[in-house]
Amino acid sequence: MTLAVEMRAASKHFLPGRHLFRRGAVVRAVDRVSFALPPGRVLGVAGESGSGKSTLANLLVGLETPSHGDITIAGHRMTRRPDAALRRGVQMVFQDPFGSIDPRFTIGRTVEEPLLIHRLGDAAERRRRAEEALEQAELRPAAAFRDLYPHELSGGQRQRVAIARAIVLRPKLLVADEPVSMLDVSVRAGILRLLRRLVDEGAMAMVFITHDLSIVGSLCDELAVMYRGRFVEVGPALDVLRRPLHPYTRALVAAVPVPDPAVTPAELPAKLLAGGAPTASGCRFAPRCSLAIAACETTDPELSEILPAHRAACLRAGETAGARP
Amino acid sequence: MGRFTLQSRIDCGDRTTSVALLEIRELSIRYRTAGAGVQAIDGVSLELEAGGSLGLVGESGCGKSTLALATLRLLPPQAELAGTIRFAGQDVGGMKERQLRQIRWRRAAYVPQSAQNALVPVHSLRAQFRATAAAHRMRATEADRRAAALMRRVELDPALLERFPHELSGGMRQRAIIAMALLFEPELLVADEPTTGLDVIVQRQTVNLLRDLRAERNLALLFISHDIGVVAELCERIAVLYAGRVMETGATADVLGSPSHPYTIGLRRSFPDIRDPERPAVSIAGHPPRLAEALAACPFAPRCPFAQPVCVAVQPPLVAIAEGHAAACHFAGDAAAMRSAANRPGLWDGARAA
Ligand SMILES: Nc1ncnc2c1ncn2[C@@H]1O[C@H](COP(=O)(O)OP(=O)(O)O)[C@@H](O)[C@H]1O
Ligand code: SF4
Ligand SMILES: [Mg+2]
Repeated sequence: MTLAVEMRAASKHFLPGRHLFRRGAVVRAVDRVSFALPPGRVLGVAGESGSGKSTLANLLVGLETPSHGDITIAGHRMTRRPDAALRRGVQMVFQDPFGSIDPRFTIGRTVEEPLLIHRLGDAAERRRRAEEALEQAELRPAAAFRDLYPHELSGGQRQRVAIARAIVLRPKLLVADEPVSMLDVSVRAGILRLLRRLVDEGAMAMVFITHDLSIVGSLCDELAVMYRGRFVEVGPALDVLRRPLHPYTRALVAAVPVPDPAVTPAELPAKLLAGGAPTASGCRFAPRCSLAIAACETTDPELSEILPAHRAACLRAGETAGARP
Repeated sequence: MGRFTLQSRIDCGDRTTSVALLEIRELSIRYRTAGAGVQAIDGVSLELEAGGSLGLVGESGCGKSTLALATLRLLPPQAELAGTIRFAGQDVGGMKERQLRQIRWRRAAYVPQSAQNALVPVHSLRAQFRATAAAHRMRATEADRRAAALMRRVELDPALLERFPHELSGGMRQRAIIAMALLFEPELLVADEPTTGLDVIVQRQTVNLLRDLRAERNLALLFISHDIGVVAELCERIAVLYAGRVMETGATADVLGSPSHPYTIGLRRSFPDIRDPERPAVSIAGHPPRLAEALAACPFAPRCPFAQPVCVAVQPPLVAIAEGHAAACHFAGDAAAMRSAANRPGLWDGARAA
């Protein structure tokens, strides 16, 4: 089976000046990231803001070109100017369901828009496909939604419109960048279930970007944790959540609030909060890591398999793999 | 099922031993609009004792921010208010501007929703500390002294006082705002979604900071969040708002441990739990109403999987179901049965997609 997406040691470096606060050094927003996804699979990418998640998304949809390495979508290599077929193959759902849809267009027109841009089908065909996509996004009956305007919909319904617009082109890869973080918690699960169903039914893969690890388990097959441009832990999603190997992943898991007043909230180590810039040759997490040893200042650890299919880029991951998180 | 009482609203959190710092009685708030208007708050009674903490939860549009603004009389002019709000025994509604100034910021500080954008972009933090101080007749030297101490307390380097808001990360800005809110050592902090939009590690740091500040200053906290996980960590008591009404209130342990209103049960189930990552959360189909007038029915009925004919005919009053724990549902007495039914697949899917 052809992979839906493959990234091979892809990097994106920004020259100094482009980022206001990091004048001087080259910013490695994405640094030698590799992964592959067959159709029907979901990869979660988690990390703090600034970890490179959105640059990764931009690389996948062709808004940025990699400085090194390459990306293939359904077997076709992404180039500086991807052709229309390749662009159709990757679609994106954004965080803000209010900002990402044009308030002047009806829902029907919004969902037809990509077909118009790609000059696909005649008016009747476009309408049929748009209605089909609305139905798939559970905006049923589509005829009832087609003529509405975005302001007549709730946040969750708007995000469903954005999803319908993304799938109307039948992409091979869906990139969802924090698609539920601006929605009420009460409607998030429905959107996540919808995305999972579309992946399962549509022979599509999904890269799901989030800073919230608590929603990953029921949605993603694989989980990658990103820190300063690098995947520092990758593995089956539930394994990573239940048995995090990298100290950064452990901190992310520990920081998630638990809706149970009987549980005492975790204290985070002062070193983690203080931060600091890593040395050029050492582990990028060392300045915030309570487990750091001298070798961490001089060796930049590569991802290596610590448990079956579960990799971490930490010199001490093997030692701590046995310990509970 | 079928039992319902017509007992009048009760006061939860009533502690006969202490005078409430904040006491809200039968509060209703209406926004006048070009159209029919919006009934944002409808007959809410709550109280918060000195040093206590109350979390207000509910989906967006349920009236949380309106209630928070009302406590300090910060509502926009198109808002009409009925009922009473007392701060330390004084009627906030009847105060003159001059009296209000004695309370606002000095005794009760407010951290607005999206506070990170509330800082003035063109002024350094020091200038903003001084401006706040000057507005309440505090000298610049005193303001500087306190600003430095408060910055240190919120784990920010006082040198950052010379910086402009955009030079700080979101988490640092949030802590700077909290420091500024503490300038006059208030007794009450009203914080509207102060952790929303922050990364989890920064959020954890902010929550832990608020918790420690409360403990060391006997600071009362009215904390608004849609995140019941954060509320569970910070607040001793909780009030669940829906369509401008209190659906359930009580000690956090009781409300989250034995949720007794279907809305609370749904919210609790919609919140994922990282300790059980495989379990899918539920989604409550539909969205809160935007009411032009107070409703003579249960506002949650259109989304409620347990609704019966009585729910659309009679407004369920907020009644006690246990000591200090009350819910506004005709069937709150059968809460245990509703809780066990709540996991049934498809129960919350309703008719409409949200
Ligand atoms: N200035 C205003 N004018 C008219 N309606 C308003 C105004 N502010 C809020 N509302 C309405 O009042 C209701 C409660 O809003 P709000 O207090 O902001 O809720 P929350 O903070 O829980 O999201 C909503 O229906 C909202 O649209
Ligand atoms: S609709 Fe009826 S059962 Fe549901 S919350 Fe309201 S009063 Fe309770
Ligand atoms: Mg609000």
